[in-house]
Amino acid sequence: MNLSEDVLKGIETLSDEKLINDSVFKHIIDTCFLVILKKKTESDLFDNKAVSSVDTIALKQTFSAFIVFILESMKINYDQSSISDLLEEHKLSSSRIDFISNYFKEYRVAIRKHLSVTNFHFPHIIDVNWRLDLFMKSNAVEKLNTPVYLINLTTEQEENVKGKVQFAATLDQLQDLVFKLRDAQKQIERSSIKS
Amino acid sequence: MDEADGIILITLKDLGCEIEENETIKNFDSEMVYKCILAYLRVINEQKVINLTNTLPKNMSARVNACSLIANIIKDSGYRSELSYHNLLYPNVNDIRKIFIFLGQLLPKKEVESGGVSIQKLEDQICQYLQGCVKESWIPYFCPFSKRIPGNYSTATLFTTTGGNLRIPSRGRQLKVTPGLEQYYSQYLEPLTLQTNRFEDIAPSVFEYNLSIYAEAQERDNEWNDKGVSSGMNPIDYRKNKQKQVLSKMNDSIRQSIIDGGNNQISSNCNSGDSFLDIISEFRGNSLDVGGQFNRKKAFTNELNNNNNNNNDSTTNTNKVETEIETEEQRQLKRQAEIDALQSQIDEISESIQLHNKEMLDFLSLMRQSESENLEQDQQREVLEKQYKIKKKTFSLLDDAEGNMKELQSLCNQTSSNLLEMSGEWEKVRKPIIEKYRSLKDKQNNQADETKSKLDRIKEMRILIKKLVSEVQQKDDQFQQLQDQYKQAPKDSNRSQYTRRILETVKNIKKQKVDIDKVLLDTKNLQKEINTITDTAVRTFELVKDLLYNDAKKDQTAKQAIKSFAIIDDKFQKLFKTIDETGNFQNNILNLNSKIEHVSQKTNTLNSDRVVQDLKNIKSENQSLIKQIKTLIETKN
Repeated sequence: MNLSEDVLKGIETLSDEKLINDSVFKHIIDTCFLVILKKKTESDLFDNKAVSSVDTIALKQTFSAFIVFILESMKINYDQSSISDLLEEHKLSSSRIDFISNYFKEYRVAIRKHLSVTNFHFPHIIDVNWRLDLFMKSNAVEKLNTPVYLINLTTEQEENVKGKVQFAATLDQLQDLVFKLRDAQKQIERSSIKS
Repeated sequence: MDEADGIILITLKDLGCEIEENETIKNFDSEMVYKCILAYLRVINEQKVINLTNTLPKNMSARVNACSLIANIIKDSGYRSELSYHNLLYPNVNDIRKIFIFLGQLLPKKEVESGGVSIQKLEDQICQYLQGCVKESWIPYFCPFSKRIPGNYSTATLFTTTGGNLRIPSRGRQLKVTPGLEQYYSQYLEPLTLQTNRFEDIAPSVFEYNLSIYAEAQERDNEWNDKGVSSGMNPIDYRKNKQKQVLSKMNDSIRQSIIDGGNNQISSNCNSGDSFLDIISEFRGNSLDVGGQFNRKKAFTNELNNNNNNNNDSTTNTNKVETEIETEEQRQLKRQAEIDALQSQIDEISESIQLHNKEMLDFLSLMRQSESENLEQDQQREVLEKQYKIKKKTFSLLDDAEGNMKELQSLCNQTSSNLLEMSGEWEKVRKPIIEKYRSLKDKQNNQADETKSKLDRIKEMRILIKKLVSEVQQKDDQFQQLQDQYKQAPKDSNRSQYTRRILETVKNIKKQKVDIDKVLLDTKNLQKEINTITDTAVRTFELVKDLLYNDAKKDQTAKQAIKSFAIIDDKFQKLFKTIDETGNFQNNILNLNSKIEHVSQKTNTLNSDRVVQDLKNIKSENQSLIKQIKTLIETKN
């Protein structure tokens, strides 16, 4: 698993038992997992009185680094023994590793489901409206008589959130658009065939 | 059997099944069996398994259909034991183990080229994904997820990554060097999950951030391993050198762009006049758009129709055989004619293009010449304007010449008087400044002299230092030599005796010196007495002579007294000599006596030794004689 240097440094800070004692450690781990699942907020950790004695910078460092660690390991569905080995390499004690492993077992499926929803995708078209106008003349040209199509696309960006795309096109431009869509469809079909 | 199960589990993990650590085949349920067998079959014969879902369906009829299909596929592959859907829905350990072993044998062997394998796997994944995308239809957001592809599109959200702006604080050197950073980290920096705009942006931002930093670190290491090691520097120096090079290149590029920007301004001014025409031409182009794909396709179809019409015309001829031969020949001739015509057109067009290029070059040269001429004429115009202004003023002044001359003279007088006043003021200001200058110069010279003298002193002191250093070194050398001699000297037990003797002799010498001093004092005192006595004797002698000479003139007895006195004097002189000689002889006698004593002592010691020996001999002889006598007496009795 590829982790950047500052993340690894944060995990090593998490292993420092003088700076972060066991109760603070448990608070940090619990808040990290539950913030990812939207069951807690950051104020539950940073405004907690039990944590007020700890250095703020170290607290932010460990919290941020462990969030990155959770997301990266769940992205590739890193198995439990590998997680334990990696944490052991960075000087965490066995009791702390066991504590973290229990949390990974409990919340693995939920986190992966949450990550599967996160996907790179453009808004999805769900409706089309169109109108035909006739462009008769303008300031420079006395007589044109060209048809113009006004098109309104309704898209769905998020759950229950809709958007609009409006544009005007001549007949030739519209034909070009149709050809491009057909070409795209053919390209996808061609690439989907196994070589 | 545990070993076989282990091998099976390893292959299942390699195929991508999620199996926990302590789980074995004995613990498998129907769903797990279904997943594993499907994983095998996807590798062995994927086309037949495309329609099946990843997980066991919920309906019993669907389950029966799926399991029966899988069972048939396995039988077709060559499985000989009895197999049907119930073996999969209600699994038995032995049957499952047989199935897994059989399917393991059917797996294709791994290729030697691992790179090719990985690329093909990736391509297959992409193909599979795209097939799913093509087949899937749109589903509203309130429908459940599609089981084929994880994450339905309707619920997918468009995200924006803020990976470049994420920041994880850390205590280190940077925190101490940068002012205000510690306060920012402790009081103002949000935790990671609040640094993004929305909650949905956390995961992609985190992935981008982590990957970018990791990739940057890897690139740095690779560059160091390739170029840095060969450069012969240590990493810190190499990085500094690279920064310098980068900065110099940036400066050069900025300087070059400034120069180009200056040139571009001139060209932009030339082009600004054409912008309106460009707008008009664009407007015309938009209204008469010829370059679209649709129009090109339309033109292509028209050409096809024309060709079809030509073909129809050719078929209308009555004589089919002759006309066919003729038409082919005619076609060839027509084609050649067309080609020749097109070639001539191309040649003409190329010639015209060359001519236009030449005209373009000529126009450019004319433009340059005209620009340079414009510049020259502008300069001349400026000069002429100045001259014109001067002449205009002079002509305006000619109307009233005398009055103007007087005014000019008065102005000249005023200016001259002003100049005199100014010169006086300048002298007032100039004197203290010159005095300051001279004083400062003198100070500087004095300082120079002082510096020279100090330098001379420094040189002398340095010379002294060198001498002292050399002397110190010599003394150190002597000290070392003496120490070496002291170490090399023998350390015997007799040393203490010699020291005692030396000390005793020293004491004796001191005592003798004291005695000698006393003797010397005595001799001095005696010498003084002798001197006084001799002086008194001499004086008395002269007194006597004087008295006698005075009396000798009167009395004859005095004359005789003088003669006798002289004789007495001579005799006394002889006495002195003899006394001295006797003294010397006595000294010699004493010396000889002392020598005699020494020698006699030696001889006495020697004689005493002989005497002692003689006594011993005599005693021994006496004893022997006594014995003889006793024996004789006894014999007589």
